Amino acid sequence: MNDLSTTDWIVLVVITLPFVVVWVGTIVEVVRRPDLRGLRAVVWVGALLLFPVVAVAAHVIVRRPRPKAVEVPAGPPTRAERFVELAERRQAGQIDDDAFRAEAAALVPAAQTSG
Amino acid sequence: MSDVDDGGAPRRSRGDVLIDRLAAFLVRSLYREVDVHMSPAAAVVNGPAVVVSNHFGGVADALVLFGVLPRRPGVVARDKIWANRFIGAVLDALGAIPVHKRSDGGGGASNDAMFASCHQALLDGGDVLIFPEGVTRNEPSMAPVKTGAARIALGASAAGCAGLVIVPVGIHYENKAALRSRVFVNVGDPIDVDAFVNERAGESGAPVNSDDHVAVNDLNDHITTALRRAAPDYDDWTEEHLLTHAAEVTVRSLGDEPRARIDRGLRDRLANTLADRPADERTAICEATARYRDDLDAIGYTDGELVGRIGTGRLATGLFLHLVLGIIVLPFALVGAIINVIPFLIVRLVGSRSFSPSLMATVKPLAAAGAFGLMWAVVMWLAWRAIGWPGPLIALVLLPVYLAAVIAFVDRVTVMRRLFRRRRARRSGDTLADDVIEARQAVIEAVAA
Repeated sequence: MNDLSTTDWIVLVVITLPFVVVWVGTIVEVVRRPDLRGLRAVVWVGALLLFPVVAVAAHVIVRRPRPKAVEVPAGPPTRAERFVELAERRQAGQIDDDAFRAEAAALVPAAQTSG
Repeated sequence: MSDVDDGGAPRRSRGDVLIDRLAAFLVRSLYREVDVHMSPAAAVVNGPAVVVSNHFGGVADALVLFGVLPRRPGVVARDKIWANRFIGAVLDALGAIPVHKRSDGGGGASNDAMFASCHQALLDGGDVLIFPEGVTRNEPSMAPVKTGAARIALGASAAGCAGLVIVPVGIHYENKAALRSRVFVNVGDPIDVDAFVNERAGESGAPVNSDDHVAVNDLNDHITTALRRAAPDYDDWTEEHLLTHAAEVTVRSLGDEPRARIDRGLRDRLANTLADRPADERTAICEATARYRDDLDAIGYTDGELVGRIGTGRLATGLFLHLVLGIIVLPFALVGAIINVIPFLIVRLVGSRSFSPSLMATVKPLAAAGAFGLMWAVVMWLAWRAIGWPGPLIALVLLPVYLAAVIAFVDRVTVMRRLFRRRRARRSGDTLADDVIEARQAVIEAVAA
């Protein structure tokens, strides 16, 4: 290790290290992707292990962007979501001001503390 | 609009897929955060759709929607921008549809071809995107909605397009002229064109098509209402800032645990509903918010910091964590800074020109894509010269990493400066805290009234 020149150190820290991080990150991403299963996932992981440079670059190019328009509600709506939906229902004229105030009062904390 | 395989949609060529990827990459690079809220009814739309959107900044709006919508729509754009042959070729490749505007001169050239193209795209099961205000806005409000979208929809429906819907979309920019700004896209409830046509046909017995002026105006009213609900529509920028801040305070106070980070989409949706309140209620909310904001300024806190403040060790821990993170990313940020300084300066130079905000929102993303793209191509070429074929591939992987490191480093420095400022202001802050909390509560109560 002591034989490394300054250039070697720079290459190691600035190029090799981040590349390894991206490489590992890519493998983890491919393994965890729900839409990539079976043979295709195996091929991807195999390619990533055998030809890291080519496969990581290929993944950068062909990777599908994050799923658009996520509309799977994760669990029950939060208080904030319920409040905003309430306000939108009032805006759309589906509930009147009194109904809004009654339901909103149940959601909004009476006294706020700084925690 | 749904992403599931729909047999009726036109087959997409490899070129289309490539354009989608490019749009998604550009949007990811140009904007820090792109959040989408789809109303449940909009999420299940699977047939042809006329997408109507508010219009802040020419190219930026179309790009954001390309990156966000499940299916890339054909954009209706004014024919004037085809004048440049290069841009014209790009627009043709994107499947844009030219519309002739009388205000652009040239007399009463017919738009029959535009309507025919739109009808065909919809009959083929595709989507059409139109900015029905017809102009880009420099104000946070909607211009009068023109009847183009309503006429396209009724015309397509009369031509036999079944299952057609009009989808209202509101684009909210945190700062539309800035790069790396945040964007929130609010997709509202679709308008069912079939139901509208059937209802009217039942009333009058006459066929409903795009020549029926009453029907066109009536549908246009529906579109206007839907757009105002989805898109920002404030009196002025002051009202926009204050109502957005009021919404932010309220959303944060409703969180299960006090947190600095909030769901910006929820904030913008709530602010949108506030903009629709009667004038006296809006004034009350704005006044309460202005008072609270002055209090915050006096003690040097933001709302998130005030509420997110937990325990006493927090400040020191926060400082330490940011410092460590900053030191870790520093070497990569340095490389990133060296590579990206020239394109950054070019974009700054472009940004210093006095374009109107809406034109800036077109010019700046284009300049950024061009300048950074060119510089990155140069780096990849240099890497190829240096070590052969793996060079450009490694560069392709690492260039985004270096850029991300620069952004992360700048963010760390900003946060640390804020934390230092906060520590200085802290002593006075503690004595004032009760008054400030009271002012905060007044904001929430005004919003919930």
